[in-house]
Amino acid sequence: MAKAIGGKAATAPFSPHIHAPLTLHRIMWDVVIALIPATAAAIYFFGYNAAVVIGISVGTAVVTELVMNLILKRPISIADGSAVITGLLFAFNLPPSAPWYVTVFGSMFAIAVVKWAFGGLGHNIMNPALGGRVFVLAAWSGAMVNVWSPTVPTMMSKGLSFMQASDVIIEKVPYVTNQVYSQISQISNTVQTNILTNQVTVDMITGASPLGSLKSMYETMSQATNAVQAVSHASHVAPKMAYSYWDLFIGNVPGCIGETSALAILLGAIYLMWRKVLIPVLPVVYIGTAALLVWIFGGLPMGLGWFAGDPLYHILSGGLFLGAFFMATDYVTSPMSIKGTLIYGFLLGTLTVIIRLWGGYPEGVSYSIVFMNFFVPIFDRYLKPKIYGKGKAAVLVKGGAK
Amino acid sequence: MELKHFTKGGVHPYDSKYTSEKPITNAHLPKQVRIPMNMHIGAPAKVLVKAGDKVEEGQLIGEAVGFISANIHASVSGTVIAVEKADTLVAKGVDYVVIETGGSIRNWYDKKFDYSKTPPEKLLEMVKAAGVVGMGGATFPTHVKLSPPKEKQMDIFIVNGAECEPYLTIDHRTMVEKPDAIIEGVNIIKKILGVKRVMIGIEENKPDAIEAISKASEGDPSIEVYALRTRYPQGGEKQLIQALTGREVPSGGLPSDVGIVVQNVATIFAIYEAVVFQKPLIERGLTYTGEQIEMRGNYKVRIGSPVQELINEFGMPAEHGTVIAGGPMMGLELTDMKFPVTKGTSGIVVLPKKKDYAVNDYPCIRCGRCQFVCPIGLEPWYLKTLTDKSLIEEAVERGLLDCIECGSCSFVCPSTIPLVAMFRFGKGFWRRKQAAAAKQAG
Ligand code: SF4
Ligand code: SF4
Repeated sequence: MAKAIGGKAATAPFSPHIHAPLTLHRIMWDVVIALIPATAAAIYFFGYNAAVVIGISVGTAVVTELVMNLILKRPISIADGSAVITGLLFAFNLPPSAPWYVTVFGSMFAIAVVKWAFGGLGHNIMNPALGGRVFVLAAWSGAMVNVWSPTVPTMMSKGLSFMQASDVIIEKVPYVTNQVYSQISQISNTVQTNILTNQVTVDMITGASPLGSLKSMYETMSQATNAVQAVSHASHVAPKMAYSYWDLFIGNVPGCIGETSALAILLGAIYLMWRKVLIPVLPVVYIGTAALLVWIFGGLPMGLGWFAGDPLYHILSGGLFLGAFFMATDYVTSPMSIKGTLIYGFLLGTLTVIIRLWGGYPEGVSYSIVFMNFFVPIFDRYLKPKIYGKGKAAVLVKGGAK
Repeated sequence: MELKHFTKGGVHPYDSKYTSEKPITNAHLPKQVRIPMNMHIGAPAKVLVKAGDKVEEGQLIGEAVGFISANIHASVSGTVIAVEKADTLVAKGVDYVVIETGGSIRNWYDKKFDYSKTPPEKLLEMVKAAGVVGMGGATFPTHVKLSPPKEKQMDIFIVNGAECEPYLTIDHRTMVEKPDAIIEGVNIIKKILGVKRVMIGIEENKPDAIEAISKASEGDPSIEVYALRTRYPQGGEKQLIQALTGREVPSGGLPSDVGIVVQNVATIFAIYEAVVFQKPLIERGLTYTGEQIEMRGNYKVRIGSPVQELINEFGMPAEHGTVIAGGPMMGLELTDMKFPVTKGTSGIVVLPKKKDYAVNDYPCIRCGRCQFVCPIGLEPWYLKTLTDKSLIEEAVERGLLDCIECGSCSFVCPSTIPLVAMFRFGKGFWRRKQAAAAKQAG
């Protein structure tokens, strides 16, 4: 082999001597660009604090990356964009009211522990952003899931300014109009029943994200034993009633910072597909499986029977799009082979639906992904592509065609 | 027309075929040639001359020893000024015969040999005598390839006109300019092999070559011409066989295992000249090219011409990137311009600086691109992990030895990991280990 001489050590002294234009840095920064629509939507729907949380999270991630580089004596890797992505995705998984310390420690944990304890980029066995989320969920569950406020545009339509609306979100003050205040205080103990009987609408009383409201509805109804027959007619439309599909699609619903707008996430995903960074096989299988299973089983917890679920409501809510397009597809923590990808996507969809319909949390996406991440090495070990010359075609004609 | 193609992987580098319109012209006779005695796979040739000898163009100066070996002839008339040892791109301490040019230039083309009554064995002898080797890069002695073991019956002869390497256009030009010679060469090979069916595969980005060859073979039902999808490495033997016949060469096997012999266009042309004009392989066509080369083109060059001579004649900017013998996907970097053109040199490609790419120690991000483009169906990222950990045995189990070193994986790897280079080291390591084990076993 030809040796590199005369200061050429930095270039390739061996073939190939040319390279495709797509590089690590370009891929990573493309992902950052693809997350811009979701970032913008987050600020639009959840006010200035969303920007603050995102800023803190990204800043912490980048600084932590730098510190880890220095501690571990690795080349400085902040320019590759991967820390920015983790910071963004972690922020997307926080509620808009997340206190600064939750943001800082979660983001730090994601980079320092989930990413670098395993050797840095390419070696982590779990998606760092989701690892961070699981960590803060365990450490500060109170700050993570409880009361959700309506979105900024909703409140603005009721006469608040952007700043006022943003303040309401940070304080987690359920926002109500004067007209319905008395009504709500009367019914505060029977909120769930009232949802079912259509007396109030969710954006006025607040308290639950779309999936949360769906979940409480299941519970109420399953408790209602005989009464359930009475409401079962109404409950055909009940899950739909909570939020319109359009609101769900554009993201005008309470929820985590970056996961609510299916539209913004899709825009980013389309950009990535156009840039050939993302092949949508996994998201399609994941979302498709979830939709199918929700349609088949979704009605069961509500006593509606088979094939009565509402797949559209489910796939548009609860971060499924964010999870499917930006978390499950994370290069490092997803299987390599097409076969593996298909099975992986199917299992993710199944797990998500199981958790959503029967599990203890309304949200199944992040748990499914984190859980499945652990099995990726097994996928990679046993699902290998067929090697040329080792298959049937080779054996068939072996020995020369006669 | 339906395009034939191999089934899995492949890349499509920007093909940079700047010289496909440039007719093949003769390069100047070099002042001096340096002819290495090891231009082919197998045993080096035995030197037959010594310093001070006068040699004639076409005179045998290196004799094939053993079965897998090839004759070497003086490419110019002149005086041997030295027989010295030096390195080639692939081997160390090889005998070089250095000839100072001077004396008569021979005309090989005044009379044609009628081979129609010559028996196949005699034709094979002629090919062997002329020192023909595979000129597409592998440089395997051609007479060996043309005499497959008797127990294997050959039924198809494939002409490799794919020329899928970016930049190179010499095969393309040969097909456009000498289609009749190619077809005649094909007929000679048909006779030697005794096959009834010939398949010619040409990438669709050379429509004029497809047309010329189709026309030249018109009326011969045994010759089929196919357009191939433009996709690297379409010209890889295994890929070409799969694309044209659907057969797969078994892992570790040879094309003859599936009844097929493949030769590339340049080799067929050399066979034609060897038989019809009894001209040994003393010159070859090559593409001298690069973005910054003004006189880029396709040239006939004497074997042994130092690359420096070509640089003097056709120019090379002071500021440039890598200089490659062969194509940019599989060629070797030239570090010393004294290196001679050999029988396997299909081109000299001068890359501009920006097209050079830096090899980095970025981590594998498991993006899967390498696996996606591997035409063999290997998992380069996995093989890399295994070779990193020196788990060569496991890597071999996972197909390391099946790697054809096409470079597609390195080409696309966003982390610019030198995957192919690692596999080459891995394979070498494995072979040495096997050899050592065999030796111990006695
Ligand atoms: S160099 Fe080897 S591993 Fe890489 S793509 Fe080609 S055959 Fe596959
Ligand atoms: S292309 Fe490079 S970075 Fe991507 S999986 Fe293969 S080795 Fe890893």
